[in-house]
Amino acid sequence: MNTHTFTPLGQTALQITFGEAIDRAVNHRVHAAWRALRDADLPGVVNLVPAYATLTVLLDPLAVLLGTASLLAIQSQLPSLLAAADAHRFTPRQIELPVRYDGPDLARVSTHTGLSEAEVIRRHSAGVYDVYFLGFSPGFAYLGGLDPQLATPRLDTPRVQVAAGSVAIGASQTAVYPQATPGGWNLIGHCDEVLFDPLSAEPCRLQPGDQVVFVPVEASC
Amino acid sequence: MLILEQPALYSSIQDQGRFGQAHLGISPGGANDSLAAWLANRIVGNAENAAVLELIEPPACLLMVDGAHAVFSGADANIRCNGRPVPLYARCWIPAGAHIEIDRPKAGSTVYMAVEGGLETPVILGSRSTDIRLGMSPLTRDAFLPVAIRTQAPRSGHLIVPPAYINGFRLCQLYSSELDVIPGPHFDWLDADTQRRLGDRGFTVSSQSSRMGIRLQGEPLAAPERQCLSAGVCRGAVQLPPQGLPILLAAEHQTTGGYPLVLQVCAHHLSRMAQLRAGERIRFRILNEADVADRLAQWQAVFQRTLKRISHEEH
Repeated sequence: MNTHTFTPLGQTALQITFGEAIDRAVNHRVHAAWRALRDADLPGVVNLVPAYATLTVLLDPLAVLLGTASLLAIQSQLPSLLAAADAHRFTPRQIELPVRYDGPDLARVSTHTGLSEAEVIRRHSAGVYDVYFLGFSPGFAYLGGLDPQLATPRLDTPRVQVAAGSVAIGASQTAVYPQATPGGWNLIGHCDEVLFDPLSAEPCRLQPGDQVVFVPVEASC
Repeated sequence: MLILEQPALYSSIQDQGRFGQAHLGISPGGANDSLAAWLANRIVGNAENAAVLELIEPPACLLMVDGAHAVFSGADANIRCNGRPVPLYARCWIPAGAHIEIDRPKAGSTVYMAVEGGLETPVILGSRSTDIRLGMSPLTRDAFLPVAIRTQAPRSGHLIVPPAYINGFRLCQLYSSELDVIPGPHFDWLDADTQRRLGDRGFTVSSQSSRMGIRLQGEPLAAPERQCLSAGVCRGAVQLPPQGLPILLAAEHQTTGGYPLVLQVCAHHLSRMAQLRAGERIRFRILNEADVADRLAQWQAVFQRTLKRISHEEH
C-alpha cells in the first residue's frame, strides 16, 4: 500500500516518510513526490530535500518567525499532491560517466574481494546505479546498486584530500567525489568529467532519481 | 566601497541564503542570525535579501572608502565611528574615510553591517552568501567590499534613527541563558533519564563551533543505539551523535544527516542560537507544542510593535 507519514521538524520543516529502509521502490516514490511538490511551488517552501526514504520540506525559518509562512498552510495541500505523485511514473535519465579504472586502492579491493582487478572493473562497470539522493557535499550522489561482491571496508585512516572525480567504494556503496574533500573510501578510478560547477546554471551533473552507468576508458598519456 | 582592515574570527558576506538547491546537497546557508540581517536591511532601506557583512566574534575594524548610510545589528557590541559611539539598529551616516571599530561583544557572537544599496559581491547559484563548499572564501585582512551606490549624502546629522526600543527588545534575548526547544522526531528514542537530563543539564558552547553547527560540551548523554537513515535536516535541529554531545545545526548545515534529531530550536529562538558563542553556558528549555505556538504569537506581537516603531521613526 502507498502510505506515508508526516513528521514535523519543529515549526519550519516537515519530513514525509515513505518507508524505513533503503529500497528502490520507496526511493522512486520519494522522487515522484519531490517532482510533484517542486512543480506545485508551495508558498513559503524554500527547499525540498529528497533522501533514501524521506522527502523533507523546508520553509524559510525567517518567514515562519515573521508569520508569512507556516507548515499548517501547506500541509492541507500535501495529501492530494502526494496521491497524484504516486500515480505518476517518471522515466529516469541515464547518465554515462567515463572512468579510468586506475585508482590507488584497486589492488586493495581486489585483495579484499578475492576478485581479479579486471573482474572488479568488469563488475563495477556492469552496474546500473540509482542516484538515491545528493548530500554530504554539493553534488555528492549516494548511489544504489553496487554488486554486493564488491563491498570493501572503508580505509582505517581517511585521506586528508581525495581528488575531484575519484570513483570510490565504501563498504556496500559506491560514489564519485564531485569535489576535492577528505574521504575514507577505496579509490578505484577517476572520472574526468566535471560533476559539480557552482558557476553553471545546472551546477550538478547528477540529479536525484537519475541512473548512472560507468563506462571504462583507457588511461590517456 | 569599504575595506575590512581587521577581520573578525570569521568574516563573510551573507544574504538570506541559497534557496531551491538543497536537493543537490547545497546548503541553504545565509546569515546565521537571519533576523538581525533582515532588520539591518530594513532599517537602512535595503531590499530584505540584500547582502550584509557578517562578523563572527569581533573585534574587527573597517575603513569606509565612500560615505554611506549603514546599520549595525546582532550582538551587543560597542561600535565606534571615528571614535564616536554608534548604536545598534540605528541608521547612521558613515562619512568617507571613517574608521569603524567593532569591539568584542558584551553578549552574542555576531555583528552585522548593512550598507545602503547592499554589498555587491558576485551571485553564485542565486545568492551572495559565502559558502566555502562552493569555492567561495571568507573575508581576510584588507578585503575590498563593493557597495551598490545609492544616495551619497546624509539626510541630516550623524545619527538618524536611535531606536533604543529595538535594542531593548533584542538584548533581552541575547542575554537569555535558556534556549527554547521542542522535542525532535527521535526524542522518544532517549531513555527517561536522558530526556530529563537533556533539559536539566547545562552545556558549554565549544570553540569547535562554526557556521555549519554549534557543538556543545559537557558530560556526555546516552545517545540512542538505533540508527537513522540519512534524511533532510533543517536549521535549529539538535543532533545527538554517538559520543553523546549535542550539535545544533546552524545556517550552513549539511542538507542531510543521519544522527538522531532529539530537539528542535523554536523559531523565535533561532537568532538566540545563532548568537551563541564559544565558552558560553546554555540550557535547553523543553516546551510543549501549545507553549511553542503561544510564544511565537507573543513574539510576533512584540515584533509588529517594533516594526511600527521603525516606520514611525522613519517618517
